[in-house]
Amino acid sequence: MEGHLRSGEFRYAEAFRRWRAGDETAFEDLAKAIASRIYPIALRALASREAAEEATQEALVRIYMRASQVADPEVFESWALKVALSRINDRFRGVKRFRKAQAGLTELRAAMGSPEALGALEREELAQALSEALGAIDEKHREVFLLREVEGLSHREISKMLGVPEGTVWSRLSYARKMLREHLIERGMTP
Amino acid sequence: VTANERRSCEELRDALSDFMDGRLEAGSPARAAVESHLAGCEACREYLEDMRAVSAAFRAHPGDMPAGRLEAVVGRAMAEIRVSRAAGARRRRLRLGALAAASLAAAAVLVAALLAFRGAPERSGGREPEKPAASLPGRVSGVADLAGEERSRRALASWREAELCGVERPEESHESAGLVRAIRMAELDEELLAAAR
Repeated sequence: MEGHLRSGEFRYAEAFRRWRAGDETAFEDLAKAIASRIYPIALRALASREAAEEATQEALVRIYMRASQVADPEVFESWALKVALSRINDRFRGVKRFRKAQAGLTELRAAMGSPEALGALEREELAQALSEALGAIDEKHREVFLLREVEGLSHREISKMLGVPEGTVWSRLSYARKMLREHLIERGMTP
Repeated sequence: VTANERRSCEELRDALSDFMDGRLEAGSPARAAVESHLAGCEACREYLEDMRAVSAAFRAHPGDMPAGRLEAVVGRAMAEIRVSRAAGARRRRLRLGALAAASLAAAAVLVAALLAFRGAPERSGGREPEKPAASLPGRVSGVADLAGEERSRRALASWREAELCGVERPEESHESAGLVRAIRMAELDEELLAAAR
């Protein structure tokens, strides 16, 4: 079960019902589906495989422990993603990472077309710089940005998931993009 | 650059994110305004390129889990869940046990009091009226509980500290970090049970 398991391919509500009915293996199926969606977000946000794996693991445990909150199986999928996002946000709150990153917007632009053109070290620095910029903006903008750019959700889907008006999603996304750009430039990363 | 031009650049930049994601319909006045500004303003074209670069870099960064890691992470989560569920069950049993011990103690006190009251004259030279036996494990478990809490609080504090300082934990402790935490809690439960026996 590699790569993305997009909603629609895996029936979260159905697996959730089976789990509710006492089938513990159903949670393992849910966990795999959720992990394959959370991990890419966590990795891009945290820029560390170790941290991304830990955040994913912690999110799964938290989802298991708190699933009794979910009354309607149909909302389990978005609820679980929200729990996972909050775990990623917790890490930003707790861990202050101020390592020097040299990657600039020039590299960002180079990476646009062909990330493989960058050396491993440059890619590492780039990921670190992006992660630090993400850490510098606040939660509500960060989660909209991640859901849009990494999860690839539509503005409407994000609005439904976070329970905010669609117009708010558009404006938060705009603000997030502007702030991320500014943070990267502030760090001396002018193109 | 005049103040007016700067203002119109700022307004445009607020609309660029919407423009990028296709919110401005083709042929609409809003879209036409953005397009004509971009055509005449290099700084704003650069700005748009920057925003696209930031978004694209996030998407381009490889984020798929290496083969085998998904199973490993899910496996670790499931193990942590199993251990902490078992510890939770043990805690619940212990609480029930403590409740039973407390009721026993109360009953013992009652019986002792009753006996002392009824048999006072004959027993006056005899052995001391027994202290309710069940109160001892109760006290011991209370102390152990406090000590245990203190220990787990300290463990948690040092854990958080390591996390805050961004200390790289050794691979082994990373692999088993969750388990270690859960096992520590289970061990505390065992100690409590032993103390209560």
